[in-house]
Amino acid sequence: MNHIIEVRNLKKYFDINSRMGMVQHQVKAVDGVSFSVAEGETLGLVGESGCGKSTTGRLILRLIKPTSGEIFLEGRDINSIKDKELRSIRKDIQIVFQNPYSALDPRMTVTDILSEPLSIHKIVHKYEYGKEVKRLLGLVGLSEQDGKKFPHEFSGGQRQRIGIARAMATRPKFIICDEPVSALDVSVQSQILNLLGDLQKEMKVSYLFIAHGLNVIRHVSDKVGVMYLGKIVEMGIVDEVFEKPIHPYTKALLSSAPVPDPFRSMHLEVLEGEIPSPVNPPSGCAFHPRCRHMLAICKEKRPFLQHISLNHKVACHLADIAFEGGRASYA
Amino acid sequence: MRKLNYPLILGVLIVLILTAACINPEAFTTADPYGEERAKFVFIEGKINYFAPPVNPCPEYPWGTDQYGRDMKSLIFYGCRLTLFTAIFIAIGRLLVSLPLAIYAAYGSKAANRLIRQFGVFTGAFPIVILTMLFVKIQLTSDFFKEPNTIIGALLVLFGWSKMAGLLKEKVEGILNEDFIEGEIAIGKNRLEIALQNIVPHLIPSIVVMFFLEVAAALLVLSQIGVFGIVMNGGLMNADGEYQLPYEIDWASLLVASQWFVATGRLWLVLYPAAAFAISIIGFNLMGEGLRMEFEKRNSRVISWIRGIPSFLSLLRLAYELKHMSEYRSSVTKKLLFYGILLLLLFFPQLPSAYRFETTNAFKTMEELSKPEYRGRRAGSSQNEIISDYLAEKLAASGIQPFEGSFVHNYPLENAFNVKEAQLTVSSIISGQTRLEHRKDYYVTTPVNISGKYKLKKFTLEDLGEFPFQENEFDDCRGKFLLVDVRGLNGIVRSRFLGLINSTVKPAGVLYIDAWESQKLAKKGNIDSPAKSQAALINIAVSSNMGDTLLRMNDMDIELTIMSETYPEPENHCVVGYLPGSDETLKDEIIIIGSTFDCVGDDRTERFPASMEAGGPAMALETAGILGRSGVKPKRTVIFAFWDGTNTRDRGSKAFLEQYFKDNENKNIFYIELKNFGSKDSSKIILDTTRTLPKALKAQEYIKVLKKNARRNELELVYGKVSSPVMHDMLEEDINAVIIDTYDIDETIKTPKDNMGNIEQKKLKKPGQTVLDALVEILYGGAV
Amino acid sequence: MGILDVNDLKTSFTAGRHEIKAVDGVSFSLEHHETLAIVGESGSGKSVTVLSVMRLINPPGRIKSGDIYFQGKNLLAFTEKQMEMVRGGRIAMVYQEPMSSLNPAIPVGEQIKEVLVIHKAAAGLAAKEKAIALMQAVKIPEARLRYQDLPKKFSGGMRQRIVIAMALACNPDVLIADEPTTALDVTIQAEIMALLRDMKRQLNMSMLLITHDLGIVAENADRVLVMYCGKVMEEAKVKTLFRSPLHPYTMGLMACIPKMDARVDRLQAIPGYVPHPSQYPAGCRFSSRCSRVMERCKAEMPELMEIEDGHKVRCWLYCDDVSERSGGRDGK
Repeated sequence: MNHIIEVRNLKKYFDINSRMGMVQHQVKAVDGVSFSVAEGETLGLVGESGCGKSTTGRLILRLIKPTSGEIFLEGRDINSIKDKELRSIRKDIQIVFQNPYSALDPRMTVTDILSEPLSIHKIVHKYEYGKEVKRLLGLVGLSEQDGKKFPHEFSGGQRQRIGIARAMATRPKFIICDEPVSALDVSVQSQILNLLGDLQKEMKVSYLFIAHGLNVIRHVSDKVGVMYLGKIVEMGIVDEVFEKPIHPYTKALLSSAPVPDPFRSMHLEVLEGEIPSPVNPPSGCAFHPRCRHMLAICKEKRPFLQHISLNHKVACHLADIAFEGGRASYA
Repeated sequence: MRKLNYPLILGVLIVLILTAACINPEAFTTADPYGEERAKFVFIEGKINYFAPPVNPCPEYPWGTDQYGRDMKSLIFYGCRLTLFTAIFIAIGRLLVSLPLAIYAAYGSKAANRLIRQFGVFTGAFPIVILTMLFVKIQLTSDFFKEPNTIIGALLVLFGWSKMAGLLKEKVEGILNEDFIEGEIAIGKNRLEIALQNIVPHLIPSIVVMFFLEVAAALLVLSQIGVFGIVMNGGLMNADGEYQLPYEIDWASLLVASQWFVATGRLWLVLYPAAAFAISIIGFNLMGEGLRMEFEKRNSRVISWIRGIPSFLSLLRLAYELKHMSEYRSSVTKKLLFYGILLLLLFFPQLPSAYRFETTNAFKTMEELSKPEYRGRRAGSSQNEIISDYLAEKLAASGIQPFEGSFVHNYPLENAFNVKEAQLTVSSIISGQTRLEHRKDYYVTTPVNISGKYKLKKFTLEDLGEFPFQENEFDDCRGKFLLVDVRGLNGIVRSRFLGLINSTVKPAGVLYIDAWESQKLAKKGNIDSPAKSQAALINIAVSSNMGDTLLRMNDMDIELTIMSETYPEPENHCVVGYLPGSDETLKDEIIIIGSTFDCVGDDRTERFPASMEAGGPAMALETAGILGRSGVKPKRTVIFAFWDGTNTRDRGSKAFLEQYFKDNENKNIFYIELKNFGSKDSSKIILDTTRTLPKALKAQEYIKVLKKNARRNELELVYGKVSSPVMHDMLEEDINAVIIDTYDIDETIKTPKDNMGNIEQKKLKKPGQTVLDALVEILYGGAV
Repeated sequence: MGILDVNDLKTSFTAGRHEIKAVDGVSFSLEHHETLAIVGESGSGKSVTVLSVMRLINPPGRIKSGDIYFQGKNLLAFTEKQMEMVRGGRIAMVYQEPMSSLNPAIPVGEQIKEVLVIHKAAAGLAAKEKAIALMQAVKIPEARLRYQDLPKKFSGGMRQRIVIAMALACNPDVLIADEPTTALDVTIQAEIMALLRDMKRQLNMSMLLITHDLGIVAENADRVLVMYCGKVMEEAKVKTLFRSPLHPYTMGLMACIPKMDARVDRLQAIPGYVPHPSQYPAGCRFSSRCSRVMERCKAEMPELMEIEDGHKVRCWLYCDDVSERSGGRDGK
């Protein structure tokens, strides 16, 4: 199994303080997430606000410390490593942030920004920084002169390119793309998505692509995971999940995404109620208050991801019952 | 229409003026700040007026003088440097303490947070003035810091950093909350790197602004504690009421007695220092505010430029670039240009002096004067003539003209004697015999020849009885020796007392116990000169330790043998030569270069050779030689005077001035005294300018010339007060004078260590060259 | 004549020496009971257009020229007092970020009631009842109980509903929705748009919908205006626009959006970036990025021409046809 990244049962609970030192509430931001990403593959994580996808990304990079669970980078357990060794994993795992306007230090020139990772991880010799920065700029479609400018002299799309260049500087194996195009104009989004795709082919890097735009996810991902309240409710090859969604939430999600086609008839599967707060998640299956097909068991027992086909897993009691028969062969 | 940043412009203007005053205060004011105006009587419209400092503002002193008579304007401008430097030191100190703590605290360190908070509460509750006052007095701080300047600076840093730390901590927290910090963590930086590379550059605008505001705040505190008397220039007074340490000038010390001054209506004494503080504080505040406004709008190319400095200066990088010259041509050119200009500025060749001061000659003179042949010659002894003849010969050889016809000028000494033999023993039945050692435990202060055994009786002021004092009241003292303790009596009472004993009580002799230790006495040359009041009797001065021993004894007998010889018709032999001035208008302006030689080679082995003192005459001789041999006529008149007898009451300088410059009608004389030079242990030269009136413009110009040439010759000058007996005479005649001496030789001067072995020839070069250059400039340089 | 007619509106902002022409000659008509969508990216001027309609432009911005007719009356001639009556009463606006319209310290019910009271639509207890009714209409559960709650107790979608309730309180004739769902999750977004459609039908309003999302346009609009750099580039009925877009910009926009139902290897992209207002090219503002640019495009700005019924486009590619038909302009 040449998985670049493997995550098992990752959890992150935030403690909300608390009167007199006793923890009153916990936010279960990520509640038992497992997946793996192979070399050169893109795993998409999609979900709405509060589902925990951004937190998951940051957990892998150890920007946040996991409460429990395991993370493997090329077979090596990186969850239990000391802080000093974190530096080495930050060479192999990088991140592109959502907001191009605030992700870069406004008082550093582009050359400084791109030289930093080179110097920290000693990618090239000190005196070769200039050349390497030039190469990185070219890689993302910027010119050498742009190196002398400051971030605020660029447009949003260009800034995102700089952010991507910075991520690529350490020649990582795995990049977490945290909503990299959500803040960009439509006409620029496609440029950046193309750039990311080209870089993936050229550098053979794997992506964890986090987004809430379903069409973007469809385009970039090989596999997709749908998250709801900190758990993955459906996971599989993107074509299969999008064309044959099983989980009621996935179905609702897909149907509510606006399609730029006025000729298509709208079939909106509207969900009842609001997205619950992750401080007080519902018991059993977190989705049950909004689910049309709720069963009694859904209130009590939490469903786990089960295969319904080779490349398709769902966490739903209804699906369990429906597909019980054919499961044995995939377990 | 661009909006001008008025605060910044005004602030920069004020700070620039202050900086100019720090670098070159001489340009702003004529007078030397140490010159003191003296108290004297003046006739105004036929009536006598007592004219004493502080002088209020008048044409001669535009801003008045302080209570010591020093010109206020000069004080302010010269004081700028120390005051501002201390304030800047405090601001930087606070910054260095606050910044790391603020960063730690912002990162979440509980200890740092607690420290900042507690310190803030503590120092906020106690007025900083009182805290400083308490701590300054504690012995611990002065042991630790040694220098008074640093004590106050360190205390103010310690008690004032917490506000800055709090502000910085908030700023750092603000920066840490920004999104890009997450990006920096993501590329693998640890906290220290983020602090240095990302946080500090963002803080630089705040730090710069805070720095200037903090300087203003420090100045404010300094002014406040100055009023309370906590000042930096901790000069100490010695028993004679003279400053032992050199003192530096700052504004806060001018405010020390401000309450008193205001109450007595002498407002100018407070007004000018207060105004100086106020203007500086305003200036720095404006600059801080102006910079804040500036930083808020501008693009920070400055920060990126600052980042580039380390790699610009890196020599390794330069070497690499030179190897790959073709690619890095422009960068290499820029760097080489930068280094070239830097080297040029640092090692800018100075113009050489017109005349060279030869240390070899001066050293030879010192050696000569310290020779054993000259031992035992004292003022009044015939051997004194040897040195004066030697000096006269040298002067003549170098083309200096004899003053008023001859080089050697002899003046009578009232009384000169030498104790050839002395034995003294005090015994009592209970304590046995105590032998006193001559010149260690006692000195003979009257020329006597005596041998015998007498009773020794203690005598006190009470025993004197009441006025009028009748001779017959003291019959029981006749024929006995009296033991008198005069320690603790002030000068007038003491001399009256001793005088009365001599004239009315008339014992056989007096042993008076005075407050001197044997070693220290060696430096004071005065014990051997008899007081007029003691002329008739045998007077013996006993040291303090020995005196205590004697006082404990009872029923004492004293047995003594003293043989002394008095010199017949003692004279002192001063040597004076001169070069007359050639310029019609300037020839009446006289510069006198004086030195004393009567301690050199003095007495027998008990009195020490005083080789350092030989430095003065040696230097004067060499200077005279160079000027004389050059053959060029000076524009002003210069007199080289070598004084004798200065350790007696009949100083050569006094007699000389009485003879030739009585009443000093033309009042155009400037006196430079050269004292000790060449000591191995010290390389600082002290320039005492306190005896030059600040309003004497010509004299002040000469002082500036001296200072300028000292700088040119890289001679380190300190300022302070030096005592010299010749000064009495100069002041008497109202002649403006300066003294040039070596600093910090108290431990060695006139002790066994003061011999040629302690003299280093090289050390003569800088002071000698300075004096020579200054003289050349004054004498030949034309209008000064 | 529509309920809202805008003629050659020009609004600029002055920053130092630069004049930024945010809206540079925009004309359109909002017909009764229709939903007109204005589509554009950042810098297109769509928000400034509607803010100008509401006369909410403050210095350094200024409406330089043009006419805005609402129900036949010239809004630009209204006094401020008159505009206050129009705003919220006859023309209501819903913004992208609900918290910018809500006072965090006042209960939501009171804020709705306030709208009613100001526009004299109701008073006192009756106003409160009406407010509760409005909350129920926008499907806030347990409206009566939640009347007293502060805005922070509601989720984003709920807050937007409250803002909509405030907007609809006085039964306005025109509802302007400026990116009403951009800040919301996709499922909530669908609900809010459904709500808006519903309310519009119930209250017989006309809606001006500002968005950058072509999906929302497709699902909600009757007619579409495509803006770019302060000018209208294309105007058409929604189905016409999607079926046969004329302007290269419109075509580029549609082509570069990833599709939900099919995957392509590489997306089509519009090269280059939206120019800064101080750096608009002479001639057509899209010329620097257009795949079908001609010499003429770089030199001259084309006019907005009606090509077929209701379908207008501003592009030199179509000018010859027009000039032949109307005999107006010179040919190439």
